[in-house]
Amino acid sequence: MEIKYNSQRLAYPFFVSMLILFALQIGFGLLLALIQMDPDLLKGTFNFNVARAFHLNLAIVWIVTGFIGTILFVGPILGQRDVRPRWLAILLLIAIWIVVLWSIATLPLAQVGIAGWVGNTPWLQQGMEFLEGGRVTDILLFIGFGIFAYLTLVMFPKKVKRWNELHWGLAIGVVGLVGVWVFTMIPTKELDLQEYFRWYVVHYWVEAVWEIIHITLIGFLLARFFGADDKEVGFAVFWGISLVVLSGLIGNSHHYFWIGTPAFWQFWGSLFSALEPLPLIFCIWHVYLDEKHGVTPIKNRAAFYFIFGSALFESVGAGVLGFTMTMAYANLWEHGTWLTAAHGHMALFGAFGLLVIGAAYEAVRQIKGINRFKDGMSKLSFWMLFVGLSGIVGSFAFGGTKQIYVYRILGLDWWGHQIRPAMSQARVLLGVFAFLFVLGGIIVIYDLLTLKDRAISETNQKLLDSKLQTRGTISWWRRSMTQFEFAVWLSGIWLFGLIVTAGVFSFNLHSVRLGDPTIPYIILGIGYPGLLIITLVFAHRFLMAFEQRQDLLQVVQNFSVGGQLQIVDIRNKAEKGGEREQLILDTFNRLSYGEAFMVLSDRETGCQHHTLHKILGTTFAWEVLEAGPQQWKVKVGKLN
Amino acid sequence: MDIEKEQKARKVAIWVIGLMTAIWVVLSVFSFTDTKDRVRPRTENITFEGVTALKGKQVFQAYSCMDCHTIVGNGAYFAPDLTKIYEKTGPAWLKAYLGSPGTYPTKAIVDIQLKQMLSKGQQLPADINTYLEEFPGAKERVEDRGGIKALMPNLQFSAEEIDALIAYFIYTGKINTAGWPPRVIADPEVVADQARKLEERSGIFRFMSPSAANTSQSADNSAATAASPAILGAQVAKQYACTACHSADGSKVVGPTFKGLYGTTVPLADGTTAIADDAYLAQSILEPNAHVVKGYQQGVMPSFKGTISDDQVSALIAYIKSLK
Repeated sequence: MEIKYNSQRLAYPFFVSMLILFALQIGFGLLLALIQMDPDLLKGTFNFNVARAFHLNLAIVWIVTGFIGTILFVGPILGQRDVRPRWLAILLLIAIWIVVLWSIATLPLAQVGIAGWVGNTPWLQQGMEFLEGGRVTDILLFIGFGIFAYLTLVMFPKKVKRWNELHWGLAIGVVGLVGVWVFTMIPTKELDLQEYFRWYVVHYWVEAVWEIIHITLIGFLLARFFGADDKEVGFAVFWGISLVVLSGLIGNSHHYFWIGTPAFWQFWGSLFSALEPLPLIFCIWHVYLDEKHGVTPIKNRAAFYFIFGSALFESVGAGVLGFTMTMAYANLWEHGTWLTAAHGHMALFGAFGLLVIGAAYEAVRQIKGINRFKDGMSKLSFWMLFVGLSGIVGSFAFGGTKQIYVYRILGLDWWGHQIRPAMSQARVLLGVFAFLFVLGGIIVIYDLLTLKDRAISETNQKLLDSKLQTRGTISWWRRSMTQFEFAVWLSGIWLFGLIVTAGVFSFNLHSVRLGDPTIPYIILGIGYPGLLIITLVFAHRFLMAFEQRQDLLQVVQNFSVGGQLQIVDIRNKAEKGGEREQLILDTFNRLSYGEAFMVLSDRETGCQHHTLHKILGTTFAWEVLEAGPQQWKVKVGKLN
Repeated sequence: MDIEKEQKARKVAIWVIGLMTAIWVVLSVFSFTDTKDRVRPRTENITFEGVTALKGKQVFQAYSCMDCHTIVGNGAYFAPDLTKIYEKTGPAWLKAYLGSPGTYPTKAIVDIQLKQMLSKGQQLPADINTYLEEFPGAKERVEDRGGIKALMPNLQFSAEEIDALIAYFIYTGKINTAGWPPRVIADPEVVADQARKLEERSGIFRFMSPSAANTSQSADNSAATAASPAILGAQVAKQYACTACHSADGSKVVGPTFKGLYGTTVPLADGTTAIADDAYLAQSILEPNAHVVKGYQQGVMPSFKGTISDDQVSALIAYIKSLK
């Protein structure tokens, strides 16, 4: 897919803004990691809580800015019309920056205790985790989200009947974004009600609205990348969203276990939020299926890396890590410790951050008129962010485990002399991985902003393609991944997830409660590193297989271009009885990897494609060169 | 795929989602409706020194406390959970601490706050030792941490904000958190042993726990002999943790610094000035709110009248004199 509508280019300034805000956000993250190491750093000048308010708020703002960029980019294709009115989109961009500048001015007021209370309404800032902005910020954001929803909806067909699942997904997403935001503005006098509504925003954003947008965008992007059928993607999107709502709606109860609401929430929260991983498993399964669906090489492998990373981390960070702590008797111990931060970082950046970065890669490529680009730097940054994030999560998990023992089991609560020393190695690790992560972040920002410098000219591209290695032995890592193997990897990830769950539950054991941490330390010491390592190895395996498949698709596409392609003429074979298919199969079986031939037919070739798919699975390339009306030409190539 | 079947399944899914929403609404309404067995505590009905917990909630939010601390477990995990802090430490320790959160208060300071609260007719244990028995968190804090630097920045709360926060912590203590955090049933010997090991270990990562370095210092000085009034005064200052608020090096903490104070002309909040001589300093110790220095909070410093002896006051003045 290439740029079709001029207004898709409007996405570019949003992506640039997103990258600037992302840089700020990870800068504050690094500062927080440094303060974790030296709590006196900037104390009194720029306190931890202010830095954290920036870290959290920017996380929301840059990701939403990325969503806006992505939807402005894909919306015109979905709606088959330009973004309009144009000035409103520009106003939205200005609004984002006004909110950012206003927040920079108001959030530090927490240091001197000014919230701007008028009655029971805090106008300047409100000191609520994730929603630190005051009412002025809330109203500005409400208007901004409203504009965003309007811009999205007017792009779609006027008749709702003509909408498909992707339209519905994005529509529910953008309207939900505004709808849920209203709850941040309800003034409350009691803490339980305050927290009750705060989670409406936070939970229903990340575990409903954002996830719906996430699923829809992944569906859309993969359909475009790999030519998957809109109907099949629509099916996946509908059931993905339904599962999100079915589990996530009542799943919000897991925030209501200990905030002063009745104990019955423990039942509902444990049950439904344990189901919350289902849509995420469903999503990554479809990423696998869609990736195999591609029959021509994609131009943007880097974007797929990030999109795959997003689905994987959503499955591991939100799904598995969320599951490990969501049931009441595990949550009892995990709640209020670093284990929550472990889950939060992977779920938020991993799932949503990586997605918008992936979308930015594709959008920037098209907007800048790049065909293909050297993606070494992009992939390097991907792996740095991947390892950095995993390390950050591991550090939080490590520190959180110690914290539960010292703080909750032993009941020691002297931060400076007991809790901090117990967690100090974890803090050092956190700093190291935060540094690696920030480096990866800087590279990805630089890469995206200067992507044009790495565009590959057509002659160079041919040179590169000719070097692609396809024949000879393929290393195990690059071999095609079967559904069975994929399922084994997922099961492995879940196995470690269950080990972690058992570890968190084991704090309930009487011997542990009496003061012996051996059992949870051993179980979690296996579970967390195991989970992070298997995730990393799986990602490597998956992406290597993806690279191999793409290389082969590329080779097939280039196979004897300009030269003579062996022609398999099926025109004089009978249509029924499978003679046509048999001929194609026989020829196919004589091919080496990366070779291709051309089928010449006098009819639609859908039947043959279908049969081949049944027998060969996804091991062949199928590029339609000519589609009727007199003759049909299909290039068939052999993949592994 | 069978389109009709699919359509049917989708309809069912949408109905189930509707049902879930209904369940959700019912549960929510139940949660916030008072019953005979379950009454939600209300911030407007809980006060401390005439300030409501609602005001406390606003102060808590204004300083964005939950972006370092946690409350009902939600927040930043960078500092202790505050939900049950009142039950642990009681109001006198909280008042002493919040006046100068950069340093843990000593027993003497908590005692002064307790006496003031008692004089205002508060229902509290009549003497400091009973108070510490009743609030073991306060006992542990004054005994182990008294006078030691805390990690919290000095936020310079006003007297009203402190009372408001205490009211809020009384309120949060009344919240029924359904058994969270879990009760500690660990063997006290294991706890003591682990605590000792951790405090030793805090030395390994000393660069990361600056406050750890202060422990040994504070232990040393108590052995010093009282040779001159100024040295005696320094000990008194330590006992009452004066330097938690008044620095000896010229920096501003909560109150004015001691360094170079003696003999200077001090601008007061009412527009007049005073000379920092013996009489002024003595009055500032015994009736601190009679004349507040311009730019500082009224009502934060407790009166030391009745707690501190005349000799100690003279020693303190000698100590301040010595800090040039």
